[in-house]
Amino acid sequence: MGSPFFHGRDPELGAALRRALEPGDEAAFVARVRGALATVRPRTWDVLEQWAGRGLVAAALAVLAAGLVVARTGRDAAGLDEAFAAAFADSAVAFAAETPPDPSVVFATPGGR
Amino acid sequence: MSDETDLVVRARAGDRDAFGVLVERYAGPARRVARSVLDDPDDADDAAQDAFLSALVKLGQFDPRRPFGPWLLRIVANAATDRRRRRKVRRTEALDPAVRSPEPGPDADAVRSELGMLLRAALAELPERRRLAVVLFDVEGYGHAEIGRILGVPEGTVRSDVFHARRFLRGRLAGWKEET
Repeated sequence: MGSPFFHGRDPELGAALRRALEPGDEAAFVARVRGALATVRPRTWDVLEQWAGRGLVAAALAVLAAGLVVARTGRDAAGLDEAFAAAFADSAVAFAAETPPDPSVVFATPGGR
Repeated sequence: MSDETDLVVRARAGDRDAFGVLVERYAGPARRVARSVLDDPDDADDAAQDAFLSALVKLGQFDPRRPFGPWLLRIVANAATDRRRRRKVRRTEALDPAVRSPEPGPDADAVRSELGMLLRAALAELPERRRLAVVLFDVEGYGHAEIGRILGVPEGTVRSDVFHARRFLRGRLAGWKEET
């Protein structure tokens, strides 16, 4: 075998060590580990960690979409205010009345008016 | 994407067959590395199995772009070291005669080999990190830098460990050759 100062591989020592450490019957070991794999359940935290990246992307997209919707509806804000005011006025009249209100009035949305 | 990366990605997604292929591929190195730390072959196989199961559980933390082997062998080395420590504690606590005089293990062929026995005995006398360093370098073919990452030590320390381990093993082998 070569000098210990040699920093390359030492095939002779490597082969001798490999023979000394060779465990044998690899197929039985692989079968045993494969069998044990069925009993393993991933840890909850790891699963959550894997989903975290995708969750952040989905949240960012949702925020972006919500921002676009708000920006669009912001232009009609004055119109919306008037619609809400009218809806609440109708509701007040309906509650003050002695007879039950017309359901189509109660469930009408401001946007639908 | 390399074959191994593909297997790791599939295993991360829950494909147990893909992980099974990785087990087949790395069974040999994992068992040899465990055996270099643990004298008893059954203990070594138990440690190697624990390491595979632990790797499956931790697979979500592994970056599939990196090589799988060094990451796995680090887990194997840790599992074997932990088992060795626990076994030492158990032996100190309870001196069971059966443990002190174990029956021959299943690797009877290897035990019969005088050179194999001598090398295993010599390895057992080395500090644990030196054993792992020389086995990972000369048996498993990893480079110094990669072994440094596996063992969590600088590359220079690995070079030194391999050097000292080789010198010691060669000394033992020279004595054996003179006798035979």
